[in-house]
Amino acid sequence: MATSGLISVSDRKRLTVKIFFGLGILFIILGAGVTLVPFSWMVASSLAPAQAMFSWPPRWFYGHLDWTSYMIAWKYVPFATYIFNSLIHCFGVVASQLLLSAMAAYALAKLSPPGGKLLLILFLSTLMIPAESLLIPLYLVMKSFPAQNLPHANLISTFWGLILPTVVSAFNILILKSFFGRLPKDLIDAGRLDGCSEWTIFWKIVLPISVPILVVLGIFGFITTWNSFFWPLIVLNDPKMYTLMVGIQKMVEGGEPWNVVMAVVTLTTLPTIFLYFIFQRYIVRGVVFNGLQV
Amino acid sequence: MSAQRRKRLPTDFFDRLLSNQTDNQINDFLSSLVDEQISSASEMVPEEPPSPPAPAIAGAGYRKGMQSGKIEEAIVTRDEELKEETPVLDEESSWEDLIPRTRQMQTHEIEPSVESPEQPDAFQPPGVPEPPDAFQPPGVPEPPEPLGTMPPEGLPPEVEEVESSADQVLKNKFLQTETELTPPTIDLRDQNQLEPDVRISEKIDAAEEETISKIVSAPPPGVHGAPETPKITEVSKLPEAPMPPPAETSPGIAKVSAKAEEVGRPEDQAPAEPATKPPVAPSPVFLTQKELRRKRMQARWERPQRKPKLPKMAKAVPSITVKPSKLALLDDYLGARPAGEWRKTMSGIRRAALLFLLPAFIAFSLFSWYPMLKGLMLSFLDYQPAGQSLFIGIDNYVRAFQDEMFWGTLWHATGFCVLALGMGFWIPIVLAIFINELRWGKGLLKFLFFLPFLMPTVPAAILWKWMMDQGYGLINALVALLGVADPHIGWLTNPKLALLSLVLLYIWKNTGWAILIYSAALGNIDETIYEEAEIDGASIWDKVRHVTFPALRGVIAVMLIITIINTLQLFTEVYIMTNGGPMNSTEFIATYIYKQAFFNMDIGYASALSILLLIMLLFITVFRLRRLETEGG
Repeated sequence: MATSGLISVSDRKRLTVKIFFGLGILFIILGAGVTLVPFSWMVASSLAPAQAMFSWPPRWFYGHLDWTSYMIAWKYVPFATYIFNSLIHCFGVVASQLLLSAMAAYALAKLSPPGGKLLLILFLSTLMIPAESLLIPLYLVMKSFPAQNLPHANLISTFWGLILPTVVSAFNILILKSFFGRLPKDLIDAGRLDGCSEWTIFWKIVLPISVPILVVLGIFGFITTWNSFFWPLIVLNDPKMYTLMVGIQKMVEGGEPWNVVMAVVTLTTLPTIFLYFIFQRYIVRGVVFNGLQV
Repeated sequence: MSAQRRKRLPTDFFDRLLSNQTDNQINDFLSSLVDEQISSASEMVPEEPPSPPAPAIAGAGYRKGMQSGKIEEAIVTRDEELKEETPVLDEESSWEDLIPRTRQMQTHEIEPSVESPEQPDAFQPPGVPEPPDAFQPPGVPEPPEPLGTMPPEGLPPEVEEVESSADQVLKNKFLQTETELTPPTIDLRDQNQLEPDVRISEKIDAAEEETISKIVSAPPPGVHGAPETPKITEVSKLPEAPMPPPAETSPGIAKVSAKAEEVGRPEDQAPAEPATKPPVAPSPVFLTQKELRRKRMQARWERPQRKPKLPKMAKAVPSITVKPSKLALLDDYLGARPAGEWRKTMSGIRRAALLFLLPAFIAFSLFSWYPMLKGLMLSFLDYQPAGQSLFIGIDNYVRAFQDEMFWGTLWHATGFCVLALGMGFWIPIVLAIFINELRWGKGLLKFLFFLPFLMPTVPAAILWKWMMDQGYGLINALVALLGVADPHIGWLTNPKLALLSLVLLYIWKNTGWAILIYSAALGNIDETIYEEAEIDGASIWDKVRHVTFPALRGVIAVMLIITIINTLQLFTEVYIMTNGGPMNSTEFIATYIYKQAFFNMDIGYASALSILLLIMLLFITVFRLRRLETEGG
């Protein structure tokens, strides 16, 4: 703790300040409690027996932990399918987003293409378009996709339709461009000197250096995609193709008992919290960064 | 000022959109990432930029000559090094100079003693002479050449004046020792003209030369440092400035010096590089094709037909062939490359750039720009999925403005915003300030508050739907604990409460995130400011008011705007918890669009609503930019 801050050491000795500070700590504890209660309720409900869902007043603990809801969730809800779909969705989006955005950003930052500035502005202009405005035309585009060679011209309820709209991200381009802009030119020149092609330079020199920022962007891409709901809800009509988020929403609509739903919700929440523990540093930095950016 | 700004807007626009007053943080964030990586990059990069090694080797070569006691060699080496600078400088001078220059050179070589009367370049400043190597067929064994004669002869007159007599003696000695070699005559007039030319080209490429000098001009320190003989140090001082070597320099010198030095010294290769490509071939960047052809023809016409006569070999000096090393490519890359080659490379890079941009461009055009235009188009249509769509002008928009539901969505968004700001806006600020004052547990608390934000929206909304369940929900149970008998409040079914319930979820979910951002902003406050305020007798409240809040002001503004934008785009929470109900009391514009498009199948109208949403968001963005402009200005 710093030696001085808003409340200095001498301040802390005064009674009013002590009371005030105590109130503040109370407020913090209260806030933390309010924050945590839903989580504990989620876990408690998922571990409660089915009949407890209709008991009043509800209790936190019914004498024993009932894991059947998890069994049901795993067996009868096609949970594994949902997770599989979600993972494909996430990896497809993250991989393509990182690759395409990095390529474009690298070209814009270091290769000075003709008309690069205009292109950048065009790219960034997509940031101002809310996703909701694009849904309808995108849906129509996906319904009759203008590529005749693809197996389906109708991309509704396919992974293509799911992934393609977010295959490149203007935000990533913006961040990566400013990152690449800071790389010394010598690095790239060194590659050229050794006879690397531009692609080799990009793949073997530029990308390896940018791993940290790519990890940050990748994590955020993953979380955003994992959490995405609106577009999958529209584009996926086939229950076998549902991603996790759409799947559990349909499950709730289908009237599953709440303990099973809560088991699924718990399982859905875990991956992101797990990710947070792994990449804590990156995520906090990135969230702050994102927040200050928007 | 304002006019200027407006002019600047297009380029600045998006930067400003995406940055704010706390740019420093972003910069720190990015630069920290860069720094981290650059430090480790040297190991990861396949080959390091070879600029550092080059001078070291060059200096070593010189020093080696010194140590072996061969003073002559050392001098030659030094001169050679100087000479080697010239092709590099030369590269930047326009290629137009090249042709007359080479022609001049060749005439010298062919008939050294003749005064070269037919030279047309009396009025045209001859550029720095191309290294004569250029005219040797690549495979021919190098002839050793008049060694000692070269250095004194080659120096431009001005420099010669400066030379000390001691050096003169030394050089004369060289002349005498190698009598068998005939020193070629020099046209001094031409030499005089060389000087300014070099300087000009030097100026032109100050930037390029900077890098080159790192590589090439490293020898001087080494030379100065060599204390062996005073004479030599004096010699070395003379040609401090990049000096044009005499046109008569024969190619062998490079090879001789190469012998003294390490194999793989990059500078040796530079002059040899053009050997494979005759200097007539390069196409200038700035010449048209026609002009180029004319020049070429001219040059061919004027080129002497005879093969250049090679100087006699000095038997004492064996020739050494130096393998072209990778380092030689550096000079090549940095300038010693003929203009045409360079141009080719540039166009290659540009082509690569376009290829790199292509996928993103296609993706954006297919999935952003085209749908945007299509949406705009649809909004003017009475869209029929199966049949013929009718163009109905702005009827959809007129309908939207007459639609009570549309105004209702705006009203609900406003209510949501007011509630969320009134109830939830101050919470993260206060919490952040208090948490920042804690002595321990900061990280843990931030993590606890951050947990809801980590939870995906869909499960969070489902969880809260269950907690707000009218029959068996937790919240009603908590209300019962307060003493209300059998409370079954319909949090999500009561039209008066539904909006509030949504706000509760929103606050719960976003508080931790806001705390993180506010604490980051608080961390940026310099603590000495607090100390100063304390000394000035400020109370805690004064400090909060005059130090903390001003520091947070920018972030608070950003958070306000984020809240508004989020509210306008609210979909998932509403869709899951109430789906616009009860009695449309929580209908938001996104859910309304969704229902219009996919339940009423009224795609034209939904598109019009989407465009209206877009316009509203753009309006907010522009408003924010204006604010940033006035603040930033």
